[in-house]
Amino acid sequence: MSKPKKENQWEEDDISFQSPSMTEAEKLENWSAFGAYRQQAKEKVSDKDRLRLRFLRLKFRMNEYLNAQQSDYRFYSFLVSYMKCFNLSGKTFADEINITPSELSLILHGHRDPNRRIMMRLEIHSNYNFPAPLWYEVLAKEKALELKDDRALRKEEEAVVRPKIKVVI
Amino acid sequence: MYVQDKQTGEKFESEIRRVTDKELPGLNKSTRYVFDWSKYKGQEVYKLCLLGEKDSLGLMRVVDHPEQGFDFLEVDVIEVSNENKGKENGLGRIGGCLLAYAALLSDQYGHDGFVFLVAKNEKAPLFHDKFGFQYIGSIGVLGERMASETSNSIELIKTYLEAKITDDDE
Repeated sequence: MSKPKKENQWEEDDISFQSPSMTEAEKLENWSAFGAYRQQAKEKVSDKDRLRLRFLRLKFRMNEYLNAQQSDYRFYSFLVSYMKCFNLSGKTFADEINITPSELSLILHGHRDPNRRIMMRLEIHSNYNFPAPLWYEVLAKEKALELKDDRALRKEEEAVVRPKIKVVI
Repeated sequence: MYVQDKQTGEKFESEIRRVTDKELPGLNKSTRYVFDWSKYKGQEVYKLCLLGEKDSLGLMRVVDHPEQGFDFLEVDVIEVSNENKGKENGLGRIGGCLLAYAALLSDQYGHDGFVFLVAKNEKAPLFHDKFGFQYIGSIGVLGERMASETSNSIELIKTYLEAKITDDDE
């Protein structure tokens, strides 16, 4: 696959296309040809490549979350996805990052925030594919979204802050 | 993920979002797209946009094939908006970002990143040379059957989705 070029050296990359118009029988034949190729190629897929893909997908979703205006995801959602990349049980994963299963359980249920040490262990566990600052940013984003939507706290605190600056930027 | 001005090389953060049924008729009314997108109501259509912007730069329709014996994701339609077509006009990397997103969806749906499409004969070399798709069989005037296997899909995702605006050009 060729790499994108620098300025003024752009290669044509307009891949606009529509699948050709086909009869139902032609469509089925086409999908069957794809399917047959897929079944043959399936055996060539290595476990390492499967893991690479899962990692890339998880990392993409984490970065997407960092840009989100709102989201139902939490830090623990991504940690659960990380564990699913290896089909790891809670106990095994807790062992591997040297925390107790109960501490991991608290984090996975959103009852406790991971500390810096745990984030560093996640970085190391992932062979540095998921840097500690990325985990930290995800946690910070969760807190920022919570604050943004916390109307009750805003109202409560507005009652005790006096005076409020009148300048608007 | 970013797109890049073809003239200046300036990079812009971008994002991919699902197109809602409500948006589809509007795409046809605009003069920015040629294909009839209104017919894909209720189907899986995605758009690439500048981060936080509403207007799309490119569109893609994918079809999941989870059926036994199939197990792949098909890219059925892709269209780059008119103002971004050509070697010198507008923004580049649009098609690559959309294809890479298809690779990511393929993994999400459990297909190991396998992406298939039927490319028109004149476009097939572009899919092969620039995006690493393999030729897997001609269907004559209808086009070329092409595949992105796991390893190529990984490269697509790294090149187009994982790449950051701050990365140096090679």
